Amino acid sequence: MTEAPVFLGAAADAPQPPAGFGAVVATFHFTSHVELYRSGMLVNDRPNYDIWVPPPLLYVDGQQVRASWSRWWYPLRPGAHDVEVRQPATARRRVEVAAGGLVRLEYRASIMIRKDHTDTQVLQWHNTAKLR
Amino acid sequence: MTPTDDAARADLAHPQSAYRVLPYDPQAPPPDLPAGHGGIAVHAWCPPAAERHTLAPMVGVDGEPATYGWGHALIVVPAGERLVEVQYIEPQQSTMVTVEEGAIVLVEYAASYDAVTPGSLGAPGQRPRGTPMPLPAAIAAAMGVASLGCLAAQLPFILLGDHLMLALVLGPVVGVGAGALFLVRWRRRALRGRR
Repeated sequence: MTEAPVFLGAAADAPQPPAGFGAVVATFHFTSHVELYRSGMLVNDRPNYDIWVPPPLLYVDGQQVRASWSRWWYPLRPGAHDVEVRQPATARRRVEVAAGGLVRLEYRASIMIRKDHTDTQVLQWHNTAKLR
Repeated sequence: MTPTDDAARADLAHPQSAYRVLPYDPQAPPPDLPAGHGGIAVHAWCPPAAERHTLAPMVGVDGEPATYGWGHALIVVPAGERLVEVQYIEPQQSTMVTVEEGAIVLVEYAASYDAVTPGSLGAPGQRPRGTPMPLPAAIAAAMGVASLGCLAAQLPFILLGDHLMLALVLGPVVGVGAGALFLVRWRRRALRGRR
């Protein structure tokens, strides 16, 4: 990838890729929840409104590129490309990009944060995700 | 002051804030900022109609948490292009801002009326999105009462086998059903947002 990714946000339209390029538009989304455990037993749960979820780590053809919990545009050379998100949960997809073409991807993560019963100490993050 | 200097942090600083967060009063002169830095003045607010089911959001910059709570705060950041992001259970909104050295960029976040629609984020003047509950509830209740009144008035004609009146009565019945369905769906969404 020789062109820089572009932040689109919720509203912006994807720009035309440069001559000889195609593009991927990727949307990153998560839902997060907190479970409280005591002696290994679930005692309560609540929405996650106070623990920050770090941005997704995106790799295109093994090279890390910028991403956040929003929509991004990635210009790519025509051909097959390996798109992989490594955090918060791994998901991978191989896409075929045509010159002037646009491939849309959506990464959706489900984030479960396990804390102690006093709701003060994070014990574990349990994340799953899909990339389609 | 370092980012870990708790004594100098604003009340709105997120416990894991990667940035220096200062109190911010829009009417007061802006504070001095370190060389090479600017500020992002965040104003996060919630419409009164949504206070029952909306908790405070987290605001972050470039993927790192900065503030948590309602109100005004100043996030001190290196000058340059910065990605401001709001999280509350899910990603809410993101916007890119350009911060110049010594300057302050104003960013406003307005929570939505309901628990499902993302809030709005951008320059000052943001308006809450979604629909406040009292309006659809009032419409649905009015529809229900009117429809029941129609039904009661037309019941004798239905019993006498007047099919035209039967057809006319179906409209209000469908109205009641639609109103009830709307309320059930709204309630489910609100509960999902609160869980």
